[in-house]
Amino acid sequence: MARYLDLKISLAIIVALIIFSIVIPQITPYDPRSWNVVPRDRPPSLRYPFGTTSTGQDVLVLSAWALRNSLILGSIAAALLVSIAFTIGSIAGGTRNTVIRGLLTYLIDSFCVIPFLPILIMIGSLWRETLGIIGTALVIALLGWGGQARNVRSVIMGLRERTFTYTAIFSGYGTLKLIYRSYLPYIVRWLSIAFLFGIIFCIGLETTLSVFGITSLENPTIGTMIFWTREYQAYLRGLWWWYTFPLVLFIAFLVAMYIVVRRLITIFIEGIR
Amino acid sequence: MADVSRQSRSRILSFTAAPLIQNLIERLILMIFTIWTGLSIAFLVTRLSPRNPAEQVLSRLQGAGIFMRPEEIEAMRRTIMGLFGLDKPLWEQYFTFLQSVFSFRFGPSLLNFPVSANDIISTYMPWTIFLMLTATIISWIIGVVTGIVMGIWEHRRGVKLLEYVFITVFPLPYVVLAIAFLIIFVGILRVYIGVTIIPKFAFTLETLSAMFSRAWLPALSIIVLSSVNWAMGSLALARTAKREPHVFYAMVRGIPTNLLLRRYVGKNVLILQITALALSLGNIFGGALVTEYIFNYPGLGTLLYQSIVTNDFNTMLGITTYSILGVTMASFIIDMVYPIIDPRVRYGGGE
Repeated sequence: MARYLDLKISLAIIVALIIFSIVIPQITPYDPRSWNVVPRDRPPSLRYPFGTTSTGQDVLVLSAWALRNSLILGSIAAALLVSIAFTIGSIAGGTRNTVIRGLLTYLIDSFCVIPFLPILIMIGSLWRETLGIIGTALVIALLGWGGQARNVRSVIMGLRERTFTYTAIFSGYGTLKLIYRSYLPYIVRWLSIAFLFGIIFCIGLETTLSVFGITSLENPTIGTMIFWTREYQAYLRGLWWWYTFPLVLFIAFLVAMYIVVRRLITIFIEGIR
Repeated sequence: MADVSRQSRSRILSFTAAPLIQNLIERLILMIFTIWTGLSIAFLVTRLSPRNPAEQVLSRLQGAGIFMRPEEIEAMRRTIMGLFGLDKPLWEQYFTFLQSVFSFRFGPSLLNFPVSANDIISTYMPWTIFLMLTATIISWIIGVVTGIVMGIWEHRRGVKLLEYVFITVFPLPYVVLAIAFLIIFVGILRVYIGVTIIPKFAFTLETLSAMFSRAWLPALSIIVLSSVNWAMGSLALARTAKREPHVFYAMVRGIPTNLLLRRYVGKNVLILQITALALSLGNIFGGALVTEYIFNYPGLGTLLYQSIVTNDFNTMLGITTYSILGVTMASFIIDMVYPIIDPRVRYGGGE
């Protein structure tokens, strides 16, 4: 029973955090984005269990809303990123046409060397107001697929050389049947892991961008919360609750996600053997 | 007789040399193309910007209280546009940029007009290299050694515990960790993190100690996260290495752990991690944008950030060029040297 204990605990944490981030903003009578709705700089109390900020927001409501936004952004970005990476990577790895393969490999390599963060910061600083959550997710996915595409390419190339491919071909499988019966189950599992890992990566990236203050600051994410604590010098003024609670929730989520990913990988490897 | 032996020798030579040279040329061409693409994307992004750096210089001049008549302003604008090369059509600007990459002369900086971008980059470069080089090497050593040792004794309780600590640190974005460091060291412990003036770099004790006093905290934050990274990678590699038949055989035969550590598992992990180290050394020329921004460290990352927000095209493209060159050259060198380090790998994917 205790076999996948860490997996179960992590899944419970993730589900709890998702419910928390959906329910709390729902039962709040005001818009979680609005400022100066509660008294400022109050430490945690019964009325405000997580305290309040210098911008007059309830940290409990704000962090739930921020977590929700971060999750939405991370999931959209990861889904886009993985689908771009999968499309290009699988064509580059699977095609027998050397010209297409060469071109795509070169495209992937180029996207791996472009200085990713500076370009993101530049785009963010230029179009911060118009980007919004979906836009930021799109930009992250469009620029960040290089590494994953390289992985997909090598996975597909590896599959082609595996013994079971030959076995399948010699047993009379056609190309379509081979892909559908033999590759898809393998790739779907692989993709789901890549997607979960992508969420961790994209959320981290968005947080980084927000700490620089170059995402839309009106709609809070965990990163923009950190940005405002820096702006209001919360560290030096001793407003520990403002940054501690959201960070704890955020770290709990990321660590739980990561444990899930690790467990899935081991289960997956055992499954193949 | 002699003729035959010469013939066979030349055949052997051509057999061993041809894939190497062919591979070298292929890689070289690919590298040049990759660098070109990276540079072009960077160039394109700067020119997509709706802001005009010339206007910014002009408004700064006017802001300083210099009175100018409209015609003078117009003439001034034209001069400045000419200085930045912005009055020419886009394709011409592009070729000027490509030329500047070859000569490493990127024109005047906007941020510190009229100082050239090169001068500024070379002032900040030693700071970045100092920070990144020490942090990368120290974290590599700590991480790889820890990972290998953990891999050998993976079933001990302490190792399991340590692995859980690593699992907690690993998925965190670096930003969060850096801010935690800032909160702990500056907010709570009130540590003094040094001066912000940057002396011109020289190999004097004074400069080096100034660098050290400024760099230790950011370096520490990098070391914590990236040694965990290296350790996790090495641990995974060590586990794979332990499953290899010859290592398993050695373990069953009961060779001393010490030997197992160095010869069997250590070597296998090191081969891959040395290449990974070289790749990450290629990254140091871009500066550590996040670290330098959070800790306000005077390096290329801070300069890059400032040049982005002030639209200092020339400085930005200059730093970007160094970073692209660093990354691609490192991976090129790795590709070429790897088969020498690891005899299992052949050039050109041969049999």
